[in-house]
Amino acid sequence: MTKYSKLFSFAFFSIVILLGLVFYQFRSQESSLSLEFYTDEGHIDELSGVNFTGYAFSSTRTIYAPHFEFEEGEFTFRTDQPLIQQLDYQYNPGMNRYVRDYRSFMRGKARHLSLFTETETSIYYTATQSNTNWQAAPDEHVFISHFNKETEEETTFEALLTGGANHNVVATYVDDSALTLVTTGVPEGNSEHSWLIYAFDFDQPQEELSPVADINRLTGSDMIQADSSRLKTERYIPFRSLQTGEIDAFGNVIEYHIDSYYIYDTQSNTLKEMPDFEEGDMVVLSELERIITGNIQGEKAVWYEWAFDTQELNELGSTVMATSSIGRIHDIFPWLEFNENIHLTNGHLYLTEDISIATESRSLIQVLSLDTMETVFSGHIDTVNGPQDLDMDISIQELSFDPSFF
Amino acid sequence: MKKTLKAFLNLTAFELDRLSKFLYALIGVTLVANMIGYVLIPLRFTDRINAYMVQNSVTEQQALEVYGELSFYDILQTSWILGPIALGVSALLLYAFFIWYREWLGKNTFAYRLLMLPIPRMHIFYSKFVVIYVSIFTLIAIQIVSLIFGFNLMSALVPSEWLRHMSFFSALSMHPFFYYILPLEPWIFLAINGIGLVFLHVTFTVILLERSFSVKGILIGITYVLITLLIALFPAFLPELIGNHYYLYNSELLILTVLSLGLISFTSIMISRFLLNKKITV
Repeated sequence: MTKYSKLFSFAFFSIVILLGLVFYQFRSQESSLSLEFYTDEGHIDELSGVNFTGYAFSSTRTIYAPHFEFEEGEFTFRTDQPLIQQLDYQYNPGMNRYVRDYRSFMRGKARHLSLFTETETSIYYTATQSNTNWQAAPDEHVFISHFNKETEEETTFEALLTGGANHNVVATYVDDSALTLVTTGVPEGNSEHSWLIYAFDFDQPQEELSPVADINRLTGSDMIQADSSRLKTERYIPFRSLQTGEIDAFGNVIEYHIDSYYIYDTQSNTLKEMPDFEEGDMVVLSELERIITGNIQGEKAVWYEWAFDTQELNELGSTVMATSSIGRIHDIFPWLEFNENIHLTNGHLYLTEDISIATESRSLIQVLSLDTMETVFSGHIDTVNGPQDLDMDISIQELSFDPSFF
Repeated sequence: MKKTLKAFLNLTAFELDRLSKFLYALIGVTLVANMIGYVLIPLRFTDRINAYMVQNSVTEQQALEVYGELSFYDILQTSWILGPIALGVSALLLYAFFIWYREWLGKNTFAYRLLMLPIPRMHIFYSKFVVIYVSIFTLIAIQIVSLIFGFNLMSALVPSEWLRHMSFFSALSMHPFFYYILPLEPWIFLAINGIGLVFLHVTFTVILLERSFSVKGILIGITYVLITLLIALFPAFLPELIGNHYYLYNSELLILTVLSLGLISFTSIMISRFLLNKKITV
């Protein structure tokens, strides 16, 4: 055996030390991070059907940034999942649910929630080739798929978007078999991008679609943003126009202001400008057949319902906001969408904001009922335990709603 | 013990014996350089803090605000720690070539004696392969022992209030190098070693091609490397080829990658086996 002693010694030494390190790591493992909602007002049950992903980022240990998901009232960490699930993980709870529940339908479809619209019975997917092939330039062909959740049958159509070029599908609103495609593209005879709206009917599918509205032309503005609706089953789509503000020494715009709010009716294909409030911030949202607008001054918000046909404003009541800025982003940038931090679903307003607590930041979430005009939930996410040397920022990234809950 | 296994162990022990002096030298360099780093960096830090406090008549806290607290991560980033690792990796990489070519060096080429041994010729291939891997894992194990010692030494040399509160594993996990070479994340450790294993199989095959066909063998070897690269990278380019980045799930791409690497390894072993048995003659 002596001639093998060196070989066995090296092999034994390596195995013992490597296994020892694994055991030592297991023994000295820091208590794993766990998160919890700290309720300030109301009840956590109000978050049923609300899913979101987020991250807990440590500024002292930059590699320690676990991504978490909140679903069915539970926090789970991406790293706690089996490796295969981690690989297929999407930083969006809606996408994760689709991949988990409709894996076959999701094959070959871009993982952007904005391209999907879900109802109780169906899922709709609208995209161009450039959404799935990163080398392809935006073009005029749009692929529309309908997935029947019960029969698991998929119907796909291809249509040519006329009246413009370089289309990018931003959202698809659904009303039974009628689809309203909200796209950005370059209209014919124009060099600037514009918001072009197309209508498609599954019962009478057309191979060529012409724009039913050009939002930029109708508003006379070249900077338009659309509401970032999570459900996209609303009849009315809020848009808003921006104005440039301060310009720096190099000629770059460093400030934007909100100009006006507009409402687009997907049934009549008409656009109307909303009246402004004289003071305070204005928010505009829609749900099913109604348009809600709020006038926020400090921590007080007065809510109104705006009738599209008569253009009348009816006061619903007032609420107290958790902070004076929750639900809104004060630095306005010319992104495609607005209302990222405020959503209206089932008569409830879901508002989020990242707030600073000492050197850390936390995501705050408030749920307001427009029926009772009361806060039915208000709270923030915080750590229950975990490593002590972390200066932790906890932030909600993608919020979505499970339609089966509403 | 079965005869063939005994013959294989004899050959592996013999190969390790030939490598041992080289390995001891690497271990020595690693331990000495590491030790200098573990002592020098904390002492320099404490000297700097003390000097600043005396020269500027300030408190400990004020000095720490200027220089910051010391962490084990700061020591890991120095060339006293990273240098020996880089040396070990490159030395073993070169040794992967040397382990074959040394057999043909000199007048009385040892290769003839090796190939004449009454054992399956693939034993020579596997014994060289195992020896390289034993050396890699020995160096990793030595590095682990050294790091544990270094962490405790640093804690003893520097007052605790001057140290940044950071655990041993936090410092290692934060480091982009140790995160990959130490078994901190089992999947990453397995993946890195799996890729290394395939790389070594391909390297050995290329060496045997050159030994079998001389200059022509170099060209065949380069072609073989290019083909293996294409096969290994095929899953990564598959979404581009089919024109849809979402047709295959990432988990499926990983399975394809593992299969591709497995295919490369298997093919390399088969080619090496053929070359050793049929082409390299004595």
